[in-house]
Parts: sequence; C-alpha cells; structure tokens
Amino acid sequence: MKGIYFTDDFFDRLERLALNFPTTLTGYFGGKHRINKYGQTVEFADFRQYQPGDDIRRIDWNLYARLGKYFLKLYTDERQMHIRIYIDCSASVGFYSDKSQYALALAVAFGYMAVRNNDKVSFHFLKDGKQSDPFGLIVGKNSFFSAVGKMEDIVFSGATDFSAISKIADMGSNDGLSVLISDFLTDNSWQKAVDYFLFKKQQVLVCQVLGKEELSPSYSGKFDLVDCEGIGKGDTRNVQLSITRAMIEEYKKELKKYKEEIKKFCIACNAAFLSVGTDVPVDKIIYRELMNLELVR
Amino acid sequence: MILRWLLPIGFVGLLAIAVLLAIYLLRPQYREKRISATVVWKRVVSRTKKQRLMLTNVFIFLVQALVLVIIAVGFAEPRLYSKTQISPDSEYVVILDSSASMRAKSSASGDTRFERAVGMATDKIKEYFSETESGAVSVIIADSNPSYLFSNLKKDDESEIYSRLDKAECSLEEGNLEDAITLAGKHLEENPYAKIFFYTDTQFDNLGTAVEVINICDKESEQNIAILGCTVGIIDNQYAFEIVLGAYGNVTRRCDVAVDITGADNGNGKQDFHLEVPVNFAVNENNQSLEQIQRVTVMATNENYGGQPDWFFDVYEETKISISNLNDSIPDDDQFYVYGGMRDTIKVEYWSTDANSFWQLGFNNLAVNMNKSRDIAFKEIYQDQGMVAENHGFDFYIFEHSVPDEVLQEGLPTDGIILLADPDSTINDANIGLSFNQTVKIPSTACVSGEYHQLIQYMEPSKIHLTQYSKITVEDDSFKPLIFIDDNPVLLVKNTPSSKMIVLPFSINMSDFYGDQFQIFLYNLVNYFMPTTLDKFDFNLGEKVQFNCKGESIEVEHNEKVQNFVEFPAELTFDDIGTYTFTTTFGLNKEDEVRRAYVHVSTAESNLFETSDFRINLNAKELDGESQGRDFFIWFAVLSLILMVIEWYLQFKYIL
Repeated sequence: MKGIYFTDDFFDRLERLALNFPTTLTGYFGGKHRINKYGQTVEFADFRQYQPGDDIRRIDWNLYARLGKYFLKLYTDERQMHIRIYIDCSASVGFYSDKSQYALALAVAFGYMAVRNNDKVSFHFLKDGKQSDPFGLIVGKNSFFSAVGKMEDIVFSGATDFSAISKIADMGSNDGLSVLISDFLTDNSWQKAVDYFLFKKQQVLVCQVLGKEELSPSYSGKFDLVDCEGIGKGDTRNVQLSITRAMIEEYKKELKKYKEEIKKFCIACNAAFLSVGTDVPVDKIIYRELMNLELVR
Repeated sequence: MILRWLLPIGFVGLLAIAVLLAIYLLRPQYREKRISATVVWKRVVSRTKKQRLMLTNVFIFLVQALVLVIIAVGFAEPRLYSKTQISPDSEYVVILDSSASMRAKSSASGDTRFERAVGMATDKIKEYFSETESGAVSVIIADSNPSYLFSNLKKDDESEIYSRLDKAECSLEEGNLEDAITLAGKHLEENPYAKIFFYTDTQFDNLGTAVEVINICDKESEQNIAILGCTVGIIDNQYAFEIVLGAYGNVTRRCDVAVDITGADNGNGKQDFHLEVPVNFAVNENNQSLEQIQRVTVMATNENYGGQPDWFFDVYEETKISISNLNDSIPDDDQFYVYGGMRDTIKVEYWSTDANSFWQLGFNNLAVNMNKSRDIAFKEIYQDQGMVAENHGFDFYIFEHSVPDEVLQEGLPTDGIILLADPDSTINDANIGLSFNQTVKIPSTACVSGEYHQLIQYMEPSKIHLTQYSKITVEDDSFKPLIFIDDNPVLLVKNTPSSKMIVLPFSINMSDFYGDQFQIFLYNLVNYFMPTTLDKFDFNLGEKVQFNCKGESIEVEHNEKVQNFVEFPAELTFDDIGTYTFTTTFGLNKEDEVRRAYVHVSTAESNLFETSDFRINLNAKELDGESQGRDFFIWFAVLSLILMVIEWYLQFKYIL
C-alpha cells in the first residue's frame, strides 16, 4: 500500500495545502484557523470602547491621547480544529484493492493536511455496525506517520453499517470537519450518520469512492450476481439477470441517478459531496475537486 | 408372433421428446459472479421490471381484447367469398304484378301492362333456357294473395311454361307485392344462385342485388281518370253528390261526369234524372305523371238539369256516376254506384198516460251520438191531448204506464219492438205472457244484474236505485229477466221471430235510472234490435266486411249468386266488382229491407304510377360451399386458445 500512494512525493505535494474551515467553528485553543471571534493573536482586528471590567492593559493609550476616551484594541483569534475521518471498511470497499487503497489514501491526505496545520486528527474504521479508533487522537506528524504505518493491517470485511457513528460518545461539537468515506453501495441508511454530524455542528464531507468495475462493468452475459457482503447463494441481495450492452447503459444511468440522489441530500443539508472513481489520481481529486468545494486552499 | 403397428406414423409424436430436450438444452444458463454490491443492479432491475410490468399489463389487456374479438368473429362464422359470377345454371324466379293497375292499356301499343309483363317474362325465360340445361323457373302471380303460377319447372317443361303464362290473367284486386317478394326470397334461402325478376308498375327502391325490378310503365301513353268515391249529402234541402275524381298520368284536360239518378221519388211518382258536368283538370303538360285529386259536387238544379225547375225528391233507387274519357287506360274505375239515398231512420212512437220528457231527451241524445250512421224520428202521443196511437209503421213502440185502448182493441203492434214502461194491470188484458200485480214501494234499493245479455252490456245495475216497482208473474218462458230487485225482475226482454218486447216494470220518475245508465240502455236497445246492416255502401274489391241483421236472416245476391246468412255478425269478402244486394228478412210482420253496396276496384289501383317504400335486402350470394366457413371457426378457436395461453403465461410470470 505504501508503494502506491504514501510516497514522499505524495506528502510533499500535500505540504502546500491546508484545509479550509468555516469561521463559524469554534475548535480548540492554539490552532492556525482564524475564526470570527476576537482573541489573543497579534493581528489587529478592531477597536471597542472601554467598559468596566475590561483588562486595562489592552487600552490603546495613543488613541486616548488623541481623543481623550478609552478604547480597547481587539485582535483576531485562531483555533485548532479536529478532523474526524470515518472509513467504511466493509467487504464492498475492499472487494477491489485499488478502491480500498484509494479510500485510505484520501483519508491519509485529509489527515496529513490536518496535522501539518496543527489540527487534531482521528481515524474511525466502520464495519458490521461497529467502529474502531485504533490510533486515537493524532496531533503532530510523528504520531500521524506512526498511524499511517499501521494502516496496512486494516482488513476490509463484513457488511456496511453506519449506525455505529451515532453511538460515538465523545464526539465534539462545532469543532471541525467530519469526512465520511465509503462507496455507499448499500441499503444501509448512511443519511442518519450525516444527520448526526450536522447535529454536532460539524463541517461534513461525504466522499464516495467507486472502483472502475463499479463505474462501468466490464462483464456481460447471463449472471447470478452475488453480493460480496451477503451470505452467498440464496441471499436476497443477489440478482439474476442477463447483462447486455443496453443493460450496462441502464446501469450507468441508474448509478448516475443514485449519485444525484446522494448529492441532492447533501446539498439539502449543507454537506459537501464528492464522488470519485479510482481511475482518477488522488492528487487530481485533492487539487481540483476539493479546491472546487473550497475545502482545501 | 409379429408385433405390427397399425399407425406407425403415430411415432412421429416422439419427436416431441427431442423438442423437449432442445428446450432444456437451450434454456438460459446463468453463471455465478461475485461483485462488490448489487444495489445498483437491483435498482436497474426494479426500474425495468416496473416498465416491463406496465407494458405487460397493456399487452395482457390487448391479448384479452383480441381473444374476445376473435371469439365474437369466430361465432359470426367468417367465410371467404369467391368472386365467381352467379352460375347461369341456377334458378329464375319471375314475379308478375297482377294488381288492377296492371290492366292499364297503352294507347300507343294497345296492350296492357300485364300483357307486356307476360311477354317480357316469356322472352326472358326463353333466353334463359337457351343458355342452360338444368336451370329451373318459377313464376309468382302477385295478386291480393300471391301464389305460384308454377314452381321449379325446367327446360323439359318449356311448352307447359309458355302455355301457363299465356293463360295468366290480371286480377282486379290490389296486389300484395310485399308478400310476393317475400315468397320469392325463400328461393334465395334454398338456392343462393337464384335470380329474381320482378315485372311491376310500382316503383321500388333497393330490394337487393338478387332482385331485378323491371318497371313496365309506359308513361308516354298511359293515363287514367278514376272515380275514387262519392258521398251523398243535402245542400239547400236537395240531394248533393260529392264525387272524388283522381287523374293520373298525362291526362286529357277535360272529362265529362254523368250522374244518372234512377227512381227519384217525391211522393208524386218516380222520375229519372240525367245530369252531366264537365270537369277540367289543371294539368302541367311538362309533368307526365301528374297525380291530381279533384272533388266535384253535382246537384239536380236548374243549371244542371237542362233549365227545368228544381225537382225535390225524398228517396231514389240508384245513382250511377260515370265519366267519359276516350283515352283512359283503366276503364274499370270509370263508373260508380250510389244506393239508397238518405241514412237509415229509426222510427219511435211514444205513448204515455202521464208523459215525461225523459224518453224524448234520451232518444234525442242518442240521435246526436249516432248522427253519422242514422237518424231517429221520435213521435210523442199524449192521451190527454186526444192524440191517437198507431200500431204499425214504427220500429219501436214505447207504451208507458198502460197501452192505449185503440191499440188493445186492434192488438199490439206486430211490425216493431214493443217497450212497456211502468205497466199497470190494465195490460194484463193484452195477454202478453206476463201478469202485472200490485205496486211495491220500498226504500231506495240498488238493482242486481242477472246473466249477461247484450241489452245490459256496459250497464252497472248496482247504480240504479228504485223506490217503487210492479211485481210480475212470468207466464211466458221466452221472457228473460235481466235485472232484479229483491229477486223480482225489473228488466225483461223477449226476442222471438214473431215478437220482440222489453218490459221495465218501474217508474223512471221513482228511480235514479235516468242518467248515464238510461243512455247506455237506449244505445244497447237500438244496437240489439236494430243494428246497422252495413256501415258504408261502397267497398274496394277484395275488402272483407262484417255486417249485422235487424231481423232473422240476410240474403246477399250478386250476379245471380245468392248467399244466406242467419248468424250475426257475419263476414263476407267482396271478390267481384259490381252491386251486392243485402235483403234483410224480419221475423215480424214487416217488409223486407233491401240495402245495396257497390264494390269497385281499389282506389289505390287507379294510381298508375305508384311508389312503394317497401324495403328488403335480397342479395345474391357468391359462396359455393359452407365448409370453408366451418374450417375458419376451428382456426379462430385455435387462435383464441393460443392467445389465452399467452395471456396466462404473462399473468403467471409478471403478476403472480
């Protein structure tokens, strides 16, 4: 996995990028992200009339000399954000190795952009209705690379299930970005997870990763299609059909329609949506698509 | 032992096993393939299935509709018709219109329509037999009762055919052409190749392709002026004859109507009259088949009778009306007879010791009601005014309370019907077969009806209430009691050839009889004893008439042929033109009554160029067998079965 994406060149290109957060977030003390509140930085923001109780050390005495009135000098505030990355580790994502690597690469890219800017990062792996957070809260590059090194051990199996997200107890509020990475090829209600992020006043990015075969099936003929997350033959998710060129066109139309449905939902709830195929390099996605979404600057 | 197969070809059916194997081998083989997720494919299938289901539903509906249509068409026995022409070896049916109008003679050729029709039919049959050896010919004579002149005669009987056609005669009756066409149509049912030739002077529209109508009218040379009828009335106290004339075709502008009145009697001797009136028709010369009806009134006045003074008369024996027209095509409708003059008059004599006006009022009302059929002459005689009753010369004698002495002395009248109203015991002397006892006074009591009799039809005896009546002892069994009160008869009738009598043993003044029940009683009285023999005196030939008798029997005489009738109402069909004499014999001491009726050619037949609106579709068929039709039925049945299987399959696959 390292050989494909996590190269020095990959991380060097990410060095020039930073995540862009809305100024309404509050975050944590000590970061680099400016917010719309006044704080203790050195960058001047505004004046305000003195009120009893204010720190007299912040009075602008030059202005008092000119006007004879007390004014306080206000400065901008910069905060640290928490980027939570939720990765769908079900069998469907891992069915094609390039797809799972792609999903992890996207997650690592977000993580690197965060730690590079002194933000906190946590990786959450979802499968079979459970979530695991093996690396804990990551701050700093050392911890980050240590975690990335362990990502080789992640096994993609089981069924897609986003229900565990709403069971995470210590999810902060109004403190950063939540990225949900999955193929979303499931009947499981991922919308509840998004709703939960919004409830927690998180900035949300829904990222769909699809493999080449999923974007354009290369097989044709009469098939008993077996869902890899099912129990095999006899599973209700299986479908028997004759795949022709026309049927593949129908598939593409339906997939497009499905993506439109996800996008429509995300727009309605002010979440960002990104659908990527593994045939497009991760760099392009970050530089083009994420910048278009104004998530990266 | 050798095993043999009687039908080895039956093993061909084993090929079905090969077909079965092929179906199994060619059955779709689905390979298993694992993919990351089937969600999108399931959505594709779900969407296409929805679309397919909608299309399938439409298709199933179409199949069901098609099945119904095929079943309906199948039951309608579809048949393929070949385009072969009607075989000349088929059958000819000739209809010869034999109505009176076919007697019209052409002034150009001198022959009648019927003669022309026979000639043309003969030529047609000759031409037919020159082309066929096996064909048959039938000829129908279309008179009032259409029948075959001959039926299904073949070439071998050619001479017989022509001989019978030569002898065929045209009737004077009205032709029943519709029945004749229907009779010919039966040939088509048996032989679809039959061809019908209809020689007629009536214009028909669209009788079907199998019927060829040959109109044998010669409009240029045919014309007819006819007397369609005559009614007799009185204008300025004189007889007036209103004659209805009909002019048809290219008629002469003028004709003379002669009226010959024989035996006109004014009480001072009989005299004959000859009146002649010229009649002009406003003929449009451009319209050759003009039809015009004109009414002419003829009276014996100075002007019409050679300048002699008016001559009034009461009765006449016979009036002959005739027209003279040199080029008339039908002479049979050029004369008409009117007999008898005035309407029948019923003479009633009423005598009473204590006269009331009920009887006169009742008969006056009856006269108004019967105004169109006969008159009533009512004569009242009052004893207290010294008037003398007569015992002869009347149809009805009504004696109220008693009988006049002069009548008792000479005997009761024997030439009419006697009605005794509220008789007292003085009548016992007349020995009429009844004894009148004491008068019984009772509280107002309703009458009760006895057995049915024509004299009390439409009456409701329960509506008649009496307070007084005479008790009667019936000694003559020929008296029939009709209405009772307390088991005592209050209306009796006797109707024997020698004596006709009605007895009402109660006073009208002491009852509520006068009113509608009294009026019905008088109506029944006149119609029972004096019914009208004939309602009219001119008839169309072939018309059936029902007639009644005032007496015991009627003798009908025509052209020295006599028929006797004793049961009435009787029926008679007039089968010849001319005068029919009806002689009524009364059982009473009364002169026989003679009535005459004139039978003429139907007025409808005087119209030379009649048009019929009769419609029938007799079409020639072009099919030479029915087997094709039956085969089609099987094919339609098989097709519908296949469609039903398809429909079942679709239902099974996509719905169930």
